[in-house]
Amino acid sequence: MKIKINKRTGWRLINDKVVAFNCSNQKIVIWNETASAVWGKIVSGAKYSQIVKWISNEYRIDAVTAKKDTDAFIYEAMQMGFIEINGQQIKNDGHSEYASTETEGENVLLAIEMDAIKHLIPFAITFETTYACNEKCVHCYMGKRQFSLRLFEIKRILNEIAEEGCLFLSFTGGEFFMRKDAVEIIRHASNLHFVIDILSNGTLISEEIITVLAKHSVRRVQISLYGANEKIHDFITLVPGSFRQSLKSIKNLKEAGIKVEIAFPMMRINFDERYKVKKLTEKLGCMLSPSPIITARNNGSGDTFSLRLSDEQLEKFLADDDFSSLYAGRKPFQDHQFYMGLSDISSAPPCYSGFNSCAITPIGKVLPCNQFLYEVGDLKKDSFSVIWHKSKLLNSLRSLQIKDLVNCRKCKMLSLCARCPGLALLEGKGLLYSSPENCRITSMLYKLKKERR
Amino acid sequence: MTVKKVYTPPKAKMKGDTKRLVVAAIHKGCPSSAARVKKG
Repeated sequence: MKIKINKRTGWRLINDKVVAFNCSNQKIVIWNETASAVWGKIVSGAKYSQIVKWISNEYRIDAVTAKKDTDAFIYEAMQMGFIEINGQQIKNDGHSEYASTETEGENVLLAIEMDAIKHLIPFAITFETTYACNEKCVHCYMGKRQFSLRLFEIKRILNEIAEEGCLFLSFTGGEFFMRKDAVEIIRHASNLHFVIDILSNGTLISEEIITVLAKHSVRRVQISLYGANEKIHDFITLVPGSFRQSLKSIKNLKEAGIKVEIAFPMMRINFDERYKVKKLTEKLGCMLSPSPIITARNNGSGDTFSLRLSDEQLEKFLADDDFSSLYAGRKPFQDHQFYMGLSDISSAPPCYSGFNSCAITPIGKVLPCNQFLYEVGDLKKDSFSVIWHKSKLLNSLRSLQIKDLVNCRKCKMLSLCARCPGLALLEGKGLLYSSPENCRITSMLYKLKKERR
Repeated sequence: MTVKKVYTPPKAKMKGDTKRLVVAAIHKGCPSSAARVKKG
């Protein structure tokens, strides 16, 4: 009996335990050490009988127990869609007593995140693969056009980050599908068992591309919409017909069984569209991710600031708990304290980018985050492993604590603040200073909190 | 002398469903909170 891992499953061995994610049904699992070892046997092509024999020999347990436990494991893995067996079913005779209880997916993800912070594992990486884009969005931060990494360089980097424990990989741009080799990159990443996210404008996703995505470990495609109709959307992308094309791709992706999230960056000019976009998203069967954050361009230009929500709009957004709770971006410091179990917030790092995540630019520079434009290494010169473990700049960032922040450490609103070091560096006075936009948002939150008392 | 390995039956240490979760923020998101999600 031949057992195989489902092709749409991404997985990684992290600290002797396999973390696996099924992109078809969005189930996630952390296997215990024995199950992780069995998983390794399945990957290396072992048959059912060989696995039973191996368990029995390795742990010196009787063959009957080894068989019963193997059956229970296979049943649990099959139930979650992680493995396939040549058309054969394993009987469920009392296996439910072995199966672990399913917890909230959020908690499983959090456990992985916390573990990655503790052990400095880059479990989530954003890979900007190109500067090129076929839209000209008014608020876009990507400025410079340079030659992007070539396919062989991208493949080499993917091999290296897989080796370091990266599981969740987000491809973005520019527009990822402007690359003629986008499909080849997906295939390579899927063969390395990454769980792949694609951030796209959706206008170049042909049916041929969707067919490929549906066969690989692609967790979700995030597509940006700027309104619920073409007039406002195309006004922002500056490309007539872009709304229609994005909408068509969303429907096609959904039909192919691929999870789609709608990103909705909110600006002064499209804020009134928010409930219509929410309704459209629900009609399409997608998740919605609105954001009030519009940043300076990567060259530091603040000409995008005039697009930001006005104070009045920002207050409306923050006061609307139902809608603002959909924002899935950076969380306030009080949450960091809660999740990390710290008694003193001031000894916590200001941000965990560079601890469990980072970003790679189209020319191979490594950043702690694609919002945090602080180059800590160059993948054209060094391997990812050398940069991740040896970069002096990165290690010095990791040693920063909230108490090092010049203005913020004594701020009465600190716990409510989601200060982004990238914004502080790009838009403020520097790395150790405040981010003016975060100050604006936090002041508004503080005021609302006081009014509600 | 070889030491007998401690045996725990192979099973999930933790498992869950993430279907109803929004995974991360928009484009310039916050990967360090990629797993810190909101229900939609």
